Amino acid sequence: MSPTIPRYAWKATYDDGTVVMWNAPGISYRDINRSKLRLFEIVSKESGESCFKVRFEPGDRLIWRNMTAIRTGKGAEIVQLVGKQRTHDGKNVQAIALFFESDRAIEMFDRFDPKHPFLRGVKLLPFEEWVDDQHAY
Amino acid sequence: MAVQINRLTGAGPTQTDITSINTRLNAEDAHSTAGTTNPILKPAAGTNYSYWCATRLYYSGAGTGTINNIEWFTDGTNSLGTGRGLNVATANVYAQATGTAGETGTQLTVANYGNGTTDLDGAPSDAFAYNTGSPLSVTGSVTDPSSELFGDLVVMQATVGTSASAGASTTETITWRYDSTIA
Repeated sequence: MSPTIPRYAWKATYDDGTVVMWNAPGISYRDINRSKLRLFEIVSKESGESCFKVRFEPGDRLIWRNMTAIRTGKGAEIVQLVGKQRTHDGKNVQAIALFFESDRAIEMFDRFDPKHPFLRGVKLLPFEEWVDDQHAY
Repeated sequence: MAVQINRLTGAGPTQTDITSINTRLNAEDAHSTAGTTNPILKPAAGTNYSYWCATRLYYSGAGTGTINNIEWFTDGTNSLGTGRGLNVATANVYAQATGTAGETGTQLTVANYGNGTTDLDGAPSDAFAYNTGSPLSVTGSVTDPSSELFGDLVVMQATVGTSASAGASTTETITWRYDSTIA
């Protein structure tokens, strides 16, 4: 299998219990109904095992990426990024998690940091409502 | 359903998947992992060059989602050896490398590449100035790809000066980094 194919993917659970997965026909990340989202998980594509879970409440904002670094002749490192953000008392509060596919380690942050190879910030997509107002230390 | 790094050579161009192998920069317009037929000739004066090496990301198969935030960088240290260097620039159009085989490639400059004005995005610079904390930003993205090249090309060129000694250089590792919403 190509080293650049992620071995983990996402699974979303809505407020009515509906489960939507990465491999559902006709469904992709952009189709996730964010207003109904209550649980976002990173799961093994092979076993379905849930490796990381983030709970969402109404109004919480989601971003997800799989981030890849290909080192020529040496394979690829893939990191799943899951971010949750909400506005509380007029201020944005966020948590960003990195799940490293290589060893299933998880790192947590409260903002993007351009000094970190996988936390340098994402280019938001039109359907993402993330407020990008918190950056580097 | 995977991203790969392709080297582009020839007029076609011909595409070679170099994701999991090395590619050698010689004085010829061809990919090889260890070719010695057309080495870069050590100059008596000035600088000789490899034929420039055009690389680009390719999505193999069909995917649903977006790939963006593409970056390219080295380890930040020139380990090629005395008198040797590596220059890099991004390009929005492929242009076949030219030169004198077994001696030197045509120097990679805006004027020498493609249409001579806009095909190369800017003057080449030292590749080792780009590292994980300060990468080369590669313009472009792709949404719902289907067996296609995407993003700008990254064009490299090795340089050899009069102080270089004969033989192959130490292998340098290049990193491509990108974000994806394709599961």
